[in-house]
Amino acid sequence: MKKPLTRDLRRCLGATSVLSELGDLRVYDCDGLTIEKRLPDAVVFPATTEQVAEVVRICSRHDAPIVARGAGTSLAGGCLPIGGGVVVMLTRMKRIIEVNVADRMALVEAGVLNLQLARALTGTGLHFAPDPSSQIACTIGGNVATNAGGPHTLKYGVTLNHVLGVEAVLGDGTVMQLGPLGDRAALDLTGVLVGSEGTLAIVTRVWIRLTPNPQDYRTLRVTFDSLDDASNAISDVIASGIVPAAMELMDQGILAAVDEAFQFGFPADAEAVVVIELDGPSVGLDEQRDRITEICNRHQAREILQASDAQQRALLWKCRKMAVGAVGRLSPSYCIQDGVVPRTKLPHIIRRITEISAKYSIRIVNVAHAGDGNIHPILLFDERDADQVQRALAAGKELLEDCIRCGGSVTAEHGIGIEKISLMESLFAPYDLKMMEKVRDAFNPGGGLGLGKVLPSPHAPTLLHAAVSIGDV
Amino acid sequence: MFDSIFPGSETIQVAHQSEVAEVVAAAYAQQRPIYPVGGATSLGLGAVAGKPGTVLRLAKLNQRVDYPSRDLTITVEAGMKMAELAKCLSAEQQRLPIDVASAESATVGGVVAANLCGPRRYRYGTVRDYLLGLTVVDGTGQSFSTGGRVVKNAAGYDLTRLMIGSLGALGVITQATLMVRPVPEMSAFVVVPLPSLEKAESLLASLRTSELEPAALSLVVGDRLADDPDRGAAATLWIGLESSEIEVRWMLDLASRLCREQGLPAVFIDAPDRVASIWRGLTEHAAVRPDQRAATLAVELTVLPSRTVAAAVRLHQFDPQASLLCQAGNGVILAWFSCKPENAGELVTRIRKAAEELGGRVVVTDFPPESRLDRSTIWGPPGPEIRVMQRIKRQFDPEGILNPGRFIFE
Ligand SMILES: Cc1cc2nc3c(=O)[nH]c(=O)nc-3n(C[C@H](O)[C@H](O)[C@H](O)COP(=O)(O)OP(=O)(O)OC[C@H]3O[C@@H](n4cnc5c(N)ncnc54)[C@H](O)[C@@H]3O)c2cc1C
Repeated sequence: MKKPLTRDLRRCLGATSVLSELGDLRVYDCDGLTIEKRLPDAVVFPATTEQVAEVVRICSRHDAPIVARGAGTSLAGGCLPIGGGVVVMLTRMKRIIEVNVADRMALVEAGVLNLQLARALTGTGLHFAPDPSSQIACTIGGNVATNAGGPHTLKYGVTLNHVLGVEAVLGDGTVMQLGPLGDRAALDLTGVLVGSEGTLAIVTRVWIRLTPNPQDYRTLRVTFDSLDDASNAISDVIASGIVPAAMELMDQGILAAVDEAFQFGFPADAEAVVVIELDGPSVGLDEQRDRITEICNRHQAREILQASDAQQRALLWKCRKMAVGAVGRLSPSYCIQDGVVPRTKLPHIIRRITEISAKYSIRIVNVAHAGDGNIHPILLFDERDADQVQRALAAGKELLEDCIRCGGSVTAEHGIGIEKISLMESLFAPYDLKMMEKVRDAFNPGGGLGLGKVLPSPHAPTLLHAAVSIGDV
Repeated sequence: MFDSIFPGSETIQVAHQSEVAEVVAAAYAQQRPIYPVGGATSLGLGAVAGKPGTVLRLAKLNQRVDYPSRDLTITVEAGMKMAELAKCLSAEQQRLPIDVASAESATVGGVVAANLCGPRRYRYGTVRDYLLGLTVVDGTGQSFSTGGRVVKNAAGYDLTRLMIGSLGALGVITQATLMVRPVPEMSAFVVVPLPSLEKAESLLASLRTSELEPAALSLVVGDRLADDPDRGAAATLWIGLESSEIEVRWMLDLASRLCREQGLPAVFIDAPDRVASIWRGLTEHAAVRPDQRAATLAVELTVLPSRTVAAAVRLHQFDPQASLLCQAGNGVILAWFSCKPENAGELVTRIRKAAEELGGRVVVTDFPPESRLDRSTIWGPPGPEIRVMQRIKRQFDPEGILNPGRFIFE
């Protein structure tokens, strides 16, 4: 039935750049959100912007939906090929086209890996600030599409703050060049494309703002007997006017998993560890560290250790960044939430997580970009047990609804994807959503890009349905 | 009062957000233009209004809605004056590090709509980096909200960014939530009088690649600040430094060493009154005085930061009397020329050509009203993305009643 589509795609890209065998397609039936799966009709690997544009035109002729995909580490189901169609892989577009040290900017193709860019910048004294924990795998295009964050977002901001422009292919196949210079004579379309999760355009190139590397660091590992004390200390540091580079919370559950994986030597009986990093000119750091130490001590910190050298610092960060991966040791399946609350509500929401965990009998462990009020409760369950899946979904939903009630949001950095569409109506008024639809129609009139994602629509799958059908996958 | 910009329009004041929606809804029904006005400080931006309509004054919409200072966010109505906002924040040792001229008149909504900023943008960025959410009335008179009140939010499309710099052509902003920052412990300046504009080039290059992270790098040519220690020099570079006291002292040392290496004298200023006066001076400097509007052309030229001095040299060649305020770390030059109304269009064309040769672009930010510059002269030639902008405009303002004729698209 889809023969003419794949035939046209092959004619455009060459046979080796188009996959359409069932076995091959299975690899692309989901992303980091594994509880819902759909098969695409074809997967293509364009190598140039012109090829991406041509693919978009072919798909629009065949009325086939399009999903852009980088590394597929999305935790929100943004890469799910709803309604089949074509998965456009950006991974072959991985050239770093230009690094301009004098102007602190770089031009890269969308498929460049975050870590690849970091490595390429070694020696320039500059870096790309967003550092998601998935940075060894995820692409810059994916970072732009999800407005990715990371631990150092606290001081340096999210991807939006580091993107000066993009080249993008619209739903009708036209190519648009935006930036890198600021332009008073235009709307900030780049700003709108950042975080649009592949539903407004396919990003093919990105103008990145580069940030100078800090001269020095102070990295602290603060251990607390009580989770409550930890979150209160974090809230007090923020209110005190210090802006640490990062302030990351890990609770007892996740520490156990990390320690099993890396034997770092985290105290097994402490309820929480907070990693606090200060960076900047060396001269000012000890003073800030002392103020933070004092605040932590006021909140009954059990132990405050400072990384003594670059190696120890790297190890501490490795533990933090691998924490999510280590969760595999605790449970066959897990689901990471991405709620955000006003920073003073952190202690409240952390307490609520404990209550919700008990209410649904679902184990929840926590990591958090705590300085931003961004929590990542990880719900542990067994995907094969439909009842557990239901309870995990319900617990996640209650938690995010609580974030909304606190004046927060249901996602700080992972995006809505398909996972949180059902919460959009709790977060926004109908007319707010209507305005978003209007913007989507302006960029992507046929709706073929990212069908069924981000906004409520008849195409959006409900995850409750996923739970029921889990036995079939 | 606004007759030169909105000829034949009446003026209405509103004091409640709901009134904005009512006024716009009525205008929508009658297809009558609405011209939103905050503090009236940036009305020179944009062409003269196409049709008579209603000037909607928002300055009475000035309530503080919520200020959870420990969260470092604030929500205010759009008509709140920037000076009032600053006062409110300073009570908690916080601030919004966006410098805006005429802060006692300029409103928060106007600053968002016109995307204003000043010297501190080098270190701290622009409205784009601080605005968390908005409430807006669209061209049909319906109100919608964007973003939220948390510092990080990836839910849905970022309509907040869409509204920044949209110059009232997509909606009337009635409320804004901003992220704020702690006030740094110390602020100081290193001032470098320069024997020639070219001399700035090597100094800026060495500053940009050093470990110095200044808050501002402002190069002033022509008209001088009142605080300038050496008005005889060809140009003056103002290096603004902000942080903890110990860090600022370290940066002062470093900056002076870098200047010495270039054989340039450097003057330190750290007396709080003078420092505050310099920040004010750098912020107010480029504002065209009302009594000079009739004979002044002001433009904003943008190039890559490393080409700032080259661009400044070109502008200086056009008119050695021209005054320039260069945000040298950002590649943004505000330039103003004495100019007869009949010559304004031609001057813009020449400046634009020079900017394009340097890979840059130019927007006219103020002009003698009599010259009646058209939109393409003011904004420059649109790129292909104008089609998307026009589609957005039609979605947000189907009858085209919001600020018609002023911005780049209809
Ligand atoms: C272990 C782990 C840890 C993580 N930690 C973090 C974290 O700390 N912070 C964080 O923000 N995220 C984190 N994530 C989530 C994820 O890695 C990020 O969202 C990342 O930005 C996705 O990049 P990707 O290349 O994998 O994109 P994909 O997963 O391939 O795609 C993500 C979304 O973007 C769209 N998309 C991808 N490329 C393009 C493009 N070129 N043009 C248009 N649309 C495109 C897709 O359609 C999809 O909707 C983590 C994920 C994992 C698995």
